[in-house]
Amino acid sequence: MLKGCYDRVVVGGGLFGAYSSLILGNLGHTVLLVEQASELMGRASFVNQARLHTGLHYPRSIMTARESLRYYAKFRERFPTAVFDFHQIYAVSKHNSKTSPHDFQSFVNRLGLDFELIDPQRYFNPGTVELALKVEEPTFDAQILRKQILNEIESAGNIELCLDTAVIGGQLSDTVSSLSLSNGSTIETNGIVIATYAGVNSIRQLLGLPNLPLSFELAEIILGSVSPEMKGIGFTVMDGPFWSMMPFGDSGFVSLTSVGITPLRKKQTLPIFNCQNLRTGCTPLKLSNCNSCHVRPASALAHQLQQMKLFLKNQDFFTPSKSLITVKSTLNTAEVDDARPTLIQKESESRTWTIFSGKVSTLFDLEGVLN
Amino acid sequence: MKQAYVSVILPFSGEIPSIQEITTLDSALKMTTHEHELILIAIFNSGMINIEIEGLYGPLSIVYTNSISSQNSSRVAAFGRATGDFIIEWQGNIGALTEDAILEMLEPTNKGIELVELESSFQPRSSRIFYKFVNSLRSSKISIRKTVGLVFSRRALGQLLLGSNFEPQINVLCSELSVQRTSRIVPVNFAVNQGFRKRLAEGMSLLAKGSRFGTVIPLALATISALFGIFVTLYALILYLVDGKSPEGWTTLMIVTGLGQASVLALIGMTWSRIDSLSRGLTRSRDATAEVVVFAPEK
Repeated sequence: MLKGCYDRVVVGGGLFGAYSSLILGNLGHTVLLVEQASELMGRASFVNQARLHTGLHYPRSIMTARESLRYYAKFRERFPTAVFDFHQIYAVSKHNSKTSPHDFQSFVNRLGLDFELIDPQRYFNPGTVELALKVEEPTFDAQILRKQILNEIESAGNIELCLDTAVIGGQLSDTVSSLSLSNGSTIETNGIVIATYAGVNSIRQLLGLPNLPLSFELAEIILGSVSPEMKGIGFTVMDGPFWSMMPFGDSGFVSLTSVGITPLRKKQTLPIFNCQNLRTGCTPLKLSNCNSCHVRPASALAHQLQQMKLFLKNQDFFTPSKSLITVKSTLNTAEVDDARPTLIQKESESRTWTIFSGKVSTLFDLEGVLN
Repeated sequence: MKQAYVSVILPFSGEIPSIQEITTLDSALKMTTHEHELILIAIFNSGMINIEIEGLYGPLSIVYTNSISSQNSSRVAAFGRATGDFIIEWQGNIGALTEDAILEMLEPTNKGIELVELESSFQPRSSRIFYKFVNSLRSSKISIRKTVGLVFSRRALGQLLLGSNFEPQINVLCSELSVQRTSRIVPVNFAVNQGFRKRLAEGMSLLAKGSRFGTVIPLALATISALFGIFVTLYALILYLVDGKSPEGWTTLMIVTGLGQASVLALIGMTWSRIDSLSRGLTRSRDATAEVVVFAPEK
């Protein structure tokens, strides 16, 4: 039974929402964390490449790269068991790359990262890759991360979890705001944190706030296994619409993604997709889980595999097991230079913060703001 | 071909193919191939094209190339994007790519043919004479052809891409590929019609290929000197014909000096070009790609 009054309410139980509740709880606030799914961090926080960015992915946005690198060490220190190291190989494609091999190597030097030059022909077909570097860029294991954060929430004592519950209405005020929940409760609070990622604009609309400049996409991650000789190796082909294959944390799977093909559908402003017309109960405000949905889009596995096989010498090492789909969102400014800025917006007329980020390690930006 | 992944590459330099043309082709490929992808090359386009296309069976990539890129380097950029087991490059009317036509194009590959060259039956006589002359000068027994369509195996395209580091012209590269080949005449005309300015830009780009600042300056000065010499000659001739006056001594001097300058500067240019090519090796410095936009398949 909910109390009815909390110092802070965090809407969205993804990684950013869960971590926000921890920060607020540690400050001594009573916190209610509202999540529409039956578990924390089960959507976009779980269905993603799990790349722990060291900045290498952003050769056209040095600010984003430096920002990623800044928090990388902190993430390792804060969640050591969730970090999964392997041999990450960054390769620059010979054709269609937005960054030349020389520019990419200069960029890595500017970031001050260690790397080892490797012969592209060791792994790649002749004429496909011009530069290959072995670098440090691990993945994180979302399950382990969830376990640690959940333990910390439970031991905090002043954070209450409200799962299987959606926000269905609300009233913002500069003193006491109220939220109506799908379980029939009405909550009063001094401050609201919106951290619903793909549902950000839907919640903002519900609370009478203007939309953020976001695009939404149905993104697919292919999970599979690799043959023993390729275990512990990841590939990231740059810079443009290429592909990545990396260990999916400590799960034993590897993930395969392809820029351009991975986002199956793209929409502006709100996550409204054609497949929602084929079923009931999946709306921009309450997005259903695509992985248990009977009208989920067809997989683009064949196209992703074909792209990977164009590059890699070893053609038969990957055995696909399953495909995961989730709704992802990006700030529209990211189209220009591939920057992925974190957005933390405080409303001027109420104690309401909106948090949006596409990168896990920028989690620590929250500490400065919510403190 | 029901077992193969086929990439279809469509260059365009004017209007983008209509959404209906693209979806019709996409459906035809769905019926004739195991999986497929479409690649459009936006040649000579200075800006991004506003296109919203949904409901395709295979992914659609639009490869935009730098505005100063030649047609050949733009095509190479698109070839580099193609992932198919077989790759069709088609410069004819898109409407001609029907299910039957696609099957007919791919049919020789069932017999181990790795390169199919499709020539247009509408090729102008002047073009035929030009290519006949070119081929008479070639030492190779394999002719260069002006093709409206090409079908490559993955291996053949791989060879062509490696060769593109050293030779920019695709029809020359095709003639040099060491693969089993065949050619066919098809009753289809070229869809890509370039205006005069674009053709001029293409010609200049081809002429300047491999040139650098140090090479261009002596050659440009040589051209100016030679032109000066020619105009002075014409002036002297007109003066003689109209007024009956003999050319003055300065005129002769200028002609000799102009031609001398032209020769010396041309030699400097050629020497510099040789030094330049020897010193910088054969690797391309930059790909022609400016941007690639991908539309994911939806069906």
